[in-house]
Amino acid sequence: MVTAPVVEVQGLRLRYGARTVLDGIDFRLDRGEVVALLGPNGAGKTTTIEVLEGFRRPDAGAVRVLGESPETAGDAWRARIGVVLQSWRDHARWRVGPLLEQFATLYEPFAASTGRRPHDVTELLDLVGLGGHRGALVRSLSGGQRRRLDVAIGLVGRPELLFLDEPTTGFDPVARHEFHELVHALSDFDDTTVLLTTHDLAEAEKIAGRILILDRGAIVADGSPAELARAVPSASEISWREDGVRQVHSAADPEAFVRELLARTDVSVTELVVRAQTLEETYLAMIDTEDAR
Amino acid sequence: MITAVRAGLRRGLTEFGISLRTPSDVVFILVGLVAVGVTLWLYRDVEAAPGVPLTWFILPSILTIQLVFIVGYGLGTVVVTEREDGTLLRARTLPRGLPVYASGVVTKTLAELVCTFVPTLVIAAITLGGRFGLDAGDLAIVLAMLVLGTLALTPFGFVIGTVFRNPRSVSGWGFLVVGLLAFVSGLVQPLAALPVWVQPIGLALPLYWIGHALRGAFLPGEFGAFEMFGDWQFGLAFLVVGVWAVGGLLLAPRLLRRVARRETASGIELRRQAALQRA
Repeated sequence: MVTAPVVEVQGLRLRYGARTVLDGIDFRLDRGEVVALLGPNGAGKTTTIEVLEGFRRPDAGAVRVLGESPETAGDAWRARIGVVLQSWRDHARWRVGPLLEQFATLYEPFAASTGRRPHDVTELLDLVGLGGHRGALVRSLSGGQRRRLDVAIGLVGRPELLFLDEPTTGFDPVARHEFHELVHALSDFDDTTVLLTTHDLAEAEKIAGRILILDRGAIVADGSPAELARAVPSASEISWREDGVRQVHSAADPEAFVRELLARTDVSVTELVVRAQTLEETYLAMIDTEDAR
Repeated sequence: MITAVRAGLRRGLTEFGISLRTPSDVVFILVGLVAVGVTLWLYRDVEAAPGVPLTWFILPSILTIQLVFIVGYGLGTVVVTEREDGTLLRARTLPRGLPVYASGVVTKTLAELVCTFVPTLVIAAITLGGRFGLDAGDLAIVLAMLVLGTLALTPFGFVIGTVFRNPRSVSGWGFLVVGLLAFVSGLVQPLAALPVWVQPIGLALPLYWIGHALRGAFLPGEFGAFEMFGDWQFGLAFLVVGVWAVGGLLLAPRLLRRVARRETASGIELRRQAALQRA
C-alpha cells in the first residue's frame, strides 16, 4: 500500500536578501518516522522547519505538509501539528497547569475532525516529567524544565506531526533519556511523525530512524545512521588487551582483523571491544568532505 | 469563532487575575486613581458657575484620558511586549491562536478599564455628594460614548503594538504622546482656547469628540457656548468617533495578522540577543 507522505518537499529555495539560505532541498517524511535534521550552525535547519510550519514563505519549490501548503493552510491543519521552537520566553507570569489547560481547550473544537483529543493536562505533565510543577510559575522553571514545558505545549493537541527545534537544550542526562523514551513512544504508539533538529549526534543516532544532513542550504546526506556510515570511508576501532597490554587498531574491515587476531595462538586476547563508526565520526567526515570541495 | 472568543475571554480573565497579583501592575492603577482622587478632592467646592461644580467639567477629561491610557497606551504596550517575548508567535502555532490571543488582550484591557472607571466614579460621587447632574438621556449618552470610544481606541492600541518594535520606547514615548494628544484634544484646557493651528488637529482626533459628548452630558446646555462650534454637537461627536471605530476595526486585524505572519523564532532570538547586549 502506498500512503501519502506526511511531508513532501521539492526544490525548496529561500533567500534572505542576497544570501541563499536554502538552495534546492528535496525530501519526504512518512507516517510514524522520526527524522533528525543535522547540520552546522547557519546551515538552514531552523529555516527549513519554519517553512514547514508555515512561518516562512519559500521563494521557490513545492512544499506539502499533511497534504496542504503550509502557507495557506487553516486552523484545522494547524490543530494537527505540534511546534516546539528554539528558546521560548512567553507566558512567564502564568502557572504551568492553567497555561496547558488553556492551550488544550483550543484543540477541542478540532477533535472530531482530527480524531485526536487533546491530552489530559495531568497525564501530559507526568509524561514530560513536570508532574510536580503544575502550580509553578513558568518563569520560576529551570532551563530544562522550561524546555519540557515547551515540549508539553507542542504535544498538548496530540499532533500527527511534531516539529522539535533543539528540544533537549538544557536537559540533564536523566531528562534526556526520558525524552528519548517519549519520542519512541510517540512514534510507536501514536504513529506521530517527528522532525527534530539537534546538535547532539549521539541523540540523533539514538532516536532517529533517518538522518538528514543539511550543509550550506543543501541536503548532503539522507539515510539511516548505518547507511550514512557506509557512504564515507570509515574505520571501526578495535581495542583489546594482549598479555595485559592495551592495544588499539583501526580497520576498515574489522571482521577480518578480529578473526585473525583471535586465531593467533601466541598471545592471550582479553577485553576485546569493536566499536563501529559513530554518527559523529560520519558527520564530521561528511562535513569535512563538503568543506574540502 | 464563538469558541475562540470564549477561550479568549477565559484567557483574558486569567491574565487579569495575574495582573491583580503583580504588585507593579496594581501600583500602576492605584497611582492613577490616587491622582484622580487628589484632583477631585482639591476641586470639590469649586464651581464653574453657580450650581455647576467644576468636577462636571473635569470628570469627562479624566474619563477620556483614562480611556486612551488603558485601551490605547496600555494595550499597545502589552502587544509590543508580547510580540517581543514570543507570545504572539506562540499564538500562531496554535489553532485559532491569533483570535484567541486578541480577544484575550481585549478582555484583560476591558477588565482594567472597569476597575479604573468604577473607583473613579465612586470618588467623584463622594466629592460631588452624589450629584452627577445626569438625567436618563445624559446617562445614555455617557454610556454610549464610553462604549463607542472604547471601540474606536482599542484597535489603535493594537496598531501601536504592531507598528512599534521596541517595548521600552513605547512605554517611554507613549506617556509623552498620550499627554500631547490629551492637550491638543482640549482635555487639559478648552480646545477653543488653544492656538488656531492646533484646533483642526484636535477636531480630527476622536479624543476631543469623546470628551465633548461627555461634557455635553454632565454640563448644562448653555455651557455648549465654550465648545468649538458654540454648541453641543452630539450627532457629529458620535459620527467622528464612529468613523474612527470603523477605521480601526478594519485596520487593526489586518496589521496584527501581518506582523504575526512576519514573526519568526529566529527574529525573536536576534532581538533577544540585541536586548541582552543593550542591558
